[in-house]
Amino acid sequence: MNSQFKKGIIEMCVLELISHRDMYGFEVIERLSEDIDVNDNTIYPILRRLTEQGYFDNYVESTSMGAPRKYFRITEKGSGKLTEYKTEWDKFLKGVSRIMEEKAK
Amino acid sequence: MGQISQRSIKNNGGEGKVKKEYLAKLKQKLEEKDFDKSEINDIIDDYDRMYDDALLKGMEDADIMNFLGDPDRIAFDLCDGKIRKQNRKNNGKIVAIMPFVSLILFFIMGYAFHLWHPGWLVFLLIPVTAIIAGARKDKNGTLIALMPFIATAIYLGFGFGMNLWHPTWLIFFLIPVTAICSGQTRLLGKLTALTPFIAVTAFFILGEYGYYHPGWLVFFLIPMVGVLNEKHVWKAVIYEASFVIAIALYLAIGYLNPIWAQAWLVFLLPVIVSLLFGEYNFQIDGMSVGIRILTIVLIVIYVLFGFLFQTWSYLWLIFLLIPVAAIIGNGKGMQKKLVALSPFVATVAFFLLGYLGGYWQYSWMAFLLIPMTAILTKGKEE
Repeated sequence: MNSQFKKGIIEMCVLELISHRDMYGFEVIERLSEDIDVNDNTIYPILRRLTEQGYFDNYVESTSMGAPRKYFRITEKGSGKLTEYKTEWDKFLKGVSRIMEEKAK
Repeated sequence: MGQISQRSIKNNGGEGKVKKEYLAKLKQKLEEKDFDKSEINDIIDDYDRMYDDALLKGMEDADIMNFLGDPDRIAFDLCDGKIRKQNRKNNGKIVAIMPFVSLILFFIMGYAFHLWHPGWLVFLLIPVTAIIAGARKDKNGTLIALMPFIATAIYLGFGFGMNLWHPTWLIFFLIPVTAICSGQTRLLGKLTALTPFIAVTAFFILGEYGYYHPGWLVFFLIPMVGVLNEKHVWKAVIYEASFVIAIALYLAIGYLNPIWAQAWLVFLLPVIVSLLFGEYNFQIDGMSVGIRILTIVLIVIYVLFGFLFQTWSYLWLIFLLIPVAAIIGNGKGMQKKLVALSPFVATVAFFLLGYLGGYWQYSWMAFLLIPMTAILTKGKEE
C-alpha cells in the first residue's frame, strides 16, 4: 500500500481512537498495532503532527509505576477534522464498492 | 531495528544501556535533521516514556525498538511537522538582507569616503554570510568553505596595501592546510600531509633572506616525515639515516670543496636505500596517493613557473585544485559536490576577472555563485 495513503488512514484511525477516550503514546501505538501493521513507526510522528496542528492537546498524569504519562486529548478542531475524514472515507469506500461491484457484473 | 545492533542488545540488555543507546541515536538523528533543541528534548522525553511503558508490559529491548521504530526513520517522519530552529529563520533573513546591506555600505564608502576601491570588498559579505548561515553541525566544513575568502582578503590586503604579492601568496596554503587539518585524525598523518606546505613556506622565508640555496634542502622534510609512517621502525631509521647522511655530505662537500654541481650525487644514497627496500609507497591516513602526487606536482609547477615567468601573483590558483580534487574524489552526491566546489570556482573566476581583466569592481559577483548553487541544489538534496 502507498505509504502516504496509509499514513492518511492511520491519521484518521488515531483521531478516531483518541476521540473515544484520552490515550498516552504507547497505548495508541499498541492499540493500532493490534489491528493494523504499524511497523513503519509512523504513529508517534503522526500524533505529534496532529498535536502541532491543534487536533490534540496534551496533559501529563502521574502513574503508580514509572514516569508520568503524557496523554493526548482530542480538541474541537480535531473532532471537526475527524468528521471531515470520515465523510471523505465513506465517500471513498462507496466509490470503491461501486467500481468493484461493476467489475463483478 | 535499523542501526541498533543485535550485539549491543545482547550485551547491554537489562541494564538500561540499550534504551540509552536508542534514545541517544534518536537524539543524534534529530540533531542532524536540524530540530529545535526544546523539540528534541520533548521528543526524547516522549520516547523515554514510551520505552518505559513497553518495559512495563514485559517487552524485550529488541521488540521495543522494533515496536517504536528505527531512529533514522522516526527523525525522517517527524520532519513533516517539525519546528525549524529559530536561528535558522534569523539566518535566512540575514542572508536575504545582506545584498542590500552590502550595497548600502558600498555606496557609503564610495560617495562619502571615495573608497570605491577596495570598498567593493564589502560584497564578499554576501557569500561569506551565506556560508556561515548555512553552517549546521559541520564547523570544519564551514571553515574550509570560508578559507578562500579569508585567504583572498589577506592576500589582496597585503598585495594592494604593501605590494607584497610575493610571498603573501603563501597565505593560500591555508586553504589545503585547513582541509588537511580538518580531515586528518592522526597527528602523524596530519603532519605528513602538511609537510609540503611547511617546506615551501620555509623555503621562501629562507629565500627572502638570501638562502634559496641551500634552503631548498628543507624539501627533504617531505620524505623524512613521510618515512615516519613506515611500519617497521628499523626501516624508518635506515631511511632517516640515509637522508641525514646525504644532506650532511652534500653540505660538507659543497662548502669544503665548492663543487655543488657534483655534490648532489650524494642524494643517490636514499634513492639506493629505497630501491633496496623495493618500497615506493607509504600509506598516509586520509590522503590518497593521487592527492599527494597532485600536491607535489602543483608545487613544482608553481615554483618552476614562478621563477621562469614570474607568475607568483596568480598561478597560486592551481593550489585550489587540491581541495577540488579531494571534493570530486569523495563519495558524496553530485549536488553536494557542486555546493562544495562553488567557493573554489567562484574564487578562480573572481581572481582571474579581477587580476587579469582588471574588473575587480565586477568580479565579486562571481561569489554570488555560491548561494545560487546552494539554492538551486537545495530541493534536489532533500
